[in-house]
Amino acid sequence: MVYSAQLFGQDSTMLDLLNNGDDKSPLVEATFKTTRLINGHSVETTDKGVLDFRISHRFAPVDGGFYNLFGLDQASTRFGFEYGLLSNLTLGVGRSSYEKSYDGFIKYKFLSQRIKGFSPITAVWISGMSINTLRWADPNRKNYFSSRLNYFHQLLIAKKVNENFSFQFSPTLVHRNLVQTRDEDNDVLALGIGFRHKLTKRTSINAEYFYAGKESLQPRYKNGLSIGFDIETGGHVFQLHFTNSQAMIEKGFITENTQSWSKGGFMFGFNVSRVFNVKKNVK
Amino acid sequence: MIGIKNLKLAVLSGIALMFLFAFSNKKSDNSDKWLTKTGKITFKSTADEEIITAVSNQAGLVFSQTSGNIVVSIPIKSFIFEKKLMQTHFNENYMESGKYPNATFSGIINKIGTINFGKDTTYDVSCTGQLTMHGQTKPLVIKGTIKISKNANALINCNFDVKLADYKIDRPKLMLKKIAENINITLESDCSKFAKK
Repeated sequence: MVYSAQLFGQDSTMLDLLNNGDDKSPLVEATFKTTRLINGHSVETTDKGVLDFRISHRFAPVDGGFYNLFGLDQASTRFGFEYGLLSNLTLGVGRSSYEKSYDGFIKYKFLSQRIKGFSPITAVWISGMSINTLRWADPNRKNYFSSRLNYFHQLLIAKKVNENFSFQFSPTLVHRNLVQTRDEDNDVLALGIGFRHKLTKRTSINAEYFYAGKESLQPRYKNGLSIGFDIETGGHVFQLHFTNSQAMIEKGFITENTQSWSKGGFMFGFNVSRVFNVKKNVK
Repeated sequence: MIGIKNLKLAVLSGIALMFLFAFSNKKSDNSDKWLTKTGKITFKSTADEEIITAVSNQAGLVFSQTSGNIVVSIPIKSFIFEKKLMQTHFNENYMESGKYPNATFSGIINKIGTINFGKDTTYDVSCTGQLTMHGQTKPLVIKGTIKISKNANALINCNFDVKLADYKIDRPKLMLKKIAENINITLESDCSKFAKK
C-alpha cells in the first residue's frame, strides 16, 4: 500500500514532465459514421487517398399495399463515387435514375472540432450541381441545355456532443435553372437539421428534416423527413431508413418531395457505402 | 499582552516557514530523470487471415536513475495505420480513445543500482509494474535492454505481449480470425537527461 502510494506520488510528477508543452488539442473524430446522415451530407469527408463507393435505393411508398410489396417492387437508385483529394477535401460524382440525373460536388471541411481548444464545432462547405438528362417532353419547343442544370450550396455545422450523440445544421440554397410554374422561385432556401445517437459501438439511430421555404415552392411539395438506422462493419456502412423523399440528389429531396408521411407516403430506402484505400497512409 | 504578541509572531513565522518549505518542496530535483517524448511503439497482431501493425512516434517515457521509477504514456490517437479506416475503427470501436485517450505503464526498473550511467554499456533489465489501457489496469513485467552512451543517452528497447481480453478490448465474432488474441508490442526509446528549459 505504502509502495503504491509512493509510486503514485512520483508518477504524477513524472507524468507532468512528459506533458510539458503539449498544447495541441486532438481532433474530434467520427462525428458521424459516414458521409451522409440519411439523404443529406454529414460533415464527414472521405480520407485522403480513399475512394467511397455508394449505392442508394429508395423504394416506392408503403401505401402501395401488399400487392406492390409495400413499395419494394419499384426502386429509384443512385450510385456514386467520392474521392478524398485531401483528408478535408472530397470530390464526388454520381448518377441517379431520378430524372436520369448526373451529379457532382466538391466538399471542403474548413473547421474541425477539437476536444479542448479552438473549435467546438466542425464546419463544411459543399457546392454541387446536377444535370437532368431526360429527353425533352416537347422536342418542337425551343429547349435550352441550361434548363437541365441545378445547383446547390450548403454550409454544414455539426457538433459531436459526446461519444454517443452528434447533431448537425445544414442551411442550404438550391438553385433550379428551370422551374415548372411562374409562382415557384429558382432559388430556394432551406434548413436541414439532423442528429445521430449511437445504440452500440457500431450502430446508431439517425434522423433528418429539411425545411424548405414554402413561399418558393408549389403547395404540393412537402418538407423531407427521414428516420434511419446505421450499421457499420469492417469496410461497409449500411444505412437503412424510412423517408418521404424519393430522390437522392439535393434538388430532389429538398424541393421536390411529393409524398407525405401523414398519407402513408413514406418509403423504405437504404444507402450502402464501401471504402477502398487507393493510396496508403504514410506512417 | 506580551504573550499574545509572541503568539502572533510565532504563528506568522510558522506560516512563513511553511510557505518557504512548501515552495522549496515544489521545486523537486529532476536531475536524476531521463526522458523522451518521441519514443517509438509498434504493435503487431498476427492472426490466421491478417497481420495488422501500427506505429506511434509519440510515446513519452521518463525514468529516475536513483529510484528506478518509470512511467510510459502514449496517446492512442498517435498510432498510425496503413489503412486510415482501420485507424478510425481502432480509435472509435476498439480502444474508445475518446473515453480513454492514453495508455500508461508505471513501474520500477528492477535493480537500477546495478546500472552505471557513466559508462558505455548495455544491460538486460526487467520492469515490474502496471499497464493501464482502455480503462483497465493489469500487472505487467517487461524484459528489455538499456544501452548507456557516455554522451548522456539511454536507449531502451523492449518487447512484450498483451492479451486484449485482459483490457476488455472486444473482438467481434467476424474479426476473430483477423485480429489476434495477443498483441506483440515493441518499444524503442532514446532517452536523454532531463534539462530545465
